[in-house]
Amino acid sequence: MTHPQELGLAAQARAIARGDLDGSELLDATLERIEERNPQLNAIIATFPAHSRQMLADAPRGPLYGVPITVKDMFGLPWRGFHNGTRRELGPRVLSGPVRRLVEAGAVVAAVENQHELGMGTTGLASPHGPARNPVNLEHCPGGSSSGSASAVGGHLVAGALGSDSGGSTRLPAGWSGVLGLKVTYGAVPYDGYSGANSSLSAPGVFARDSADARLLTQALLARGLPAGDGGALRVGIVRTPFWEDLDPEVAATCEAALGTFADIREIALKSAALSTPAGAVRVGVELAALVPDGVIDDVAPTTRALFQFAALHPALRLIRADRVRAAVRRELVAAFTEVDVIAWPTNPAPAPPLSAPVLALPSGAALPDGPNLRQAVIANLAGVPGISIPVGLHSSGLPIGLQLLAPWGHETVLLDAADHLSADDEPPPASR
Amino acid sequence: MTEFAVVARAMLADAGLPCTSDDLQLLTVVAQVLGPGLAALDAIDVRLFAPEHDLDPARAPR
Repeated sequence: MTHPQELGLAAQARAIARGDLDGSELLDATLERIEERNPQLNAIIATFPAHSRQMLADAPRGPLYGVPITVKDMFGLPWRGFHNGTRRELGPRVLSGPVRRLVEAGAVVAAVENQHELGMGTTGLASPHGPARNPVNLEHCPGGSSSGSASAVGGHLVAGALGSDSGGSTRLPAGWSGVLGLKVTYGAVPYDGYSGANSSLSAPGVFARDSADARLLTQALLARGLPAGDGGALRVGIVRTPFWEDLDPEVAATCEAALGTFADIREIALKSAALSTPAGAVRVGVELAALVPDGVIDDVAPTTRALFQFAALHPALRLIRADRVRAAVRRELVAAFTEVDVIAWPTNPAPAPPLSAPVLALPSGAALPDGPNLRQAVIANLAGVPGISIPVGLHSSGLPIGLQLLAPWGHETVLLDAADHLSADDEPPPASR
Repeated sequence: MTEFAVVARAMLADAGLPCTSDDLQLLTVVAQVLGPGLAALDAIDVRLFAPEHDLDPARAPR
């Protein structure tokens, strides 16, 4: 008999609604699956079966009724405040706003996920629990900071997960781990109990293995319907500079091929886009560092500590400059979205590097991942617009390649339409187990 | 000690943040990685970049 976690989120929900699958049996099977596979994936840092069973008993008969999900360590639960990838409980013990939306739809929180420490990295390497692992190749980085979200969904521990995205932290791990990751529009959900609540960049993001599941989960998160449209008919803008520069050639070619399936693609320019990387680096660093309580820096990994310290070195004038660039980028995006429905480029500049040597091989030479990854992602956080990473193929190394699309504020549905279109003929990448 | 290290140590001390020699080595790497981009940002003519006084990332600019 097929394990229920080999089903997608929508299939699980349908099976429960029809009476073909019992919610308690699904939860037990999920917890057993976590126990069996997590020692390899290290995607999960906490389970709480009694709380999960009570949540199931109290679950409303919504569209996600009885479906187990996992959540990032940036979201509070009534029995566990968020730790944000540290050993300390940093948030209140409350059902955080984004998780509440999913619970109100009937979902059951089965576990809390591993993540990159304090959200300050794109690899997943820095974690007091050790790094989560890439579900396609356990020796490689899953991406971050929502490393456990991508690993848990790609590794079939659960069919859906809730992560977050302050500088690409949903889209980047989704791209490296071969799953869909969708960052919603900034402020589209209640932020209480969420570590991103004081950020002007952070937004929750959903992880799923296919576009139908991503749509179901996003609808629940946004508490509104997202009716499907014709993804193939979308007008797609390709922004070459800087997002298609210095890429692994196979990544570029695979993403180009995927975009070639759309009927209307055209090149557009965003004049200030190249400055979005330093502007985003300043904003991300300063905002994340400002939220770290006193004393936490003494316990974190040396690389996290260095990023925290570096953020303290920015002169105030630089923040003003960053915000002027942010304003320019937002205006340029508004203009772009009068011409096209979505804009597109590769999610990550190169496939996931090995955990043992986390360096990207780019045409310009070897590079630490955070800078090039941030370049691809942070413009969406500066602007506040939604974005998605969609698996579009495999590199010759066997690692996944993701295509990123951004849409106007509140237009998550067109990103899902594009995902429907792109995934129509595709097989998902194989999980490592 | 490099000029960057001297400045970094002094600024962090002024902010009441600890900074070891190991920290300085990693900070130097971070500065090397982010430096060119930050230099480009520092070089912009702010007068050419209009502010958005009611910037709200939840919606498009008015």
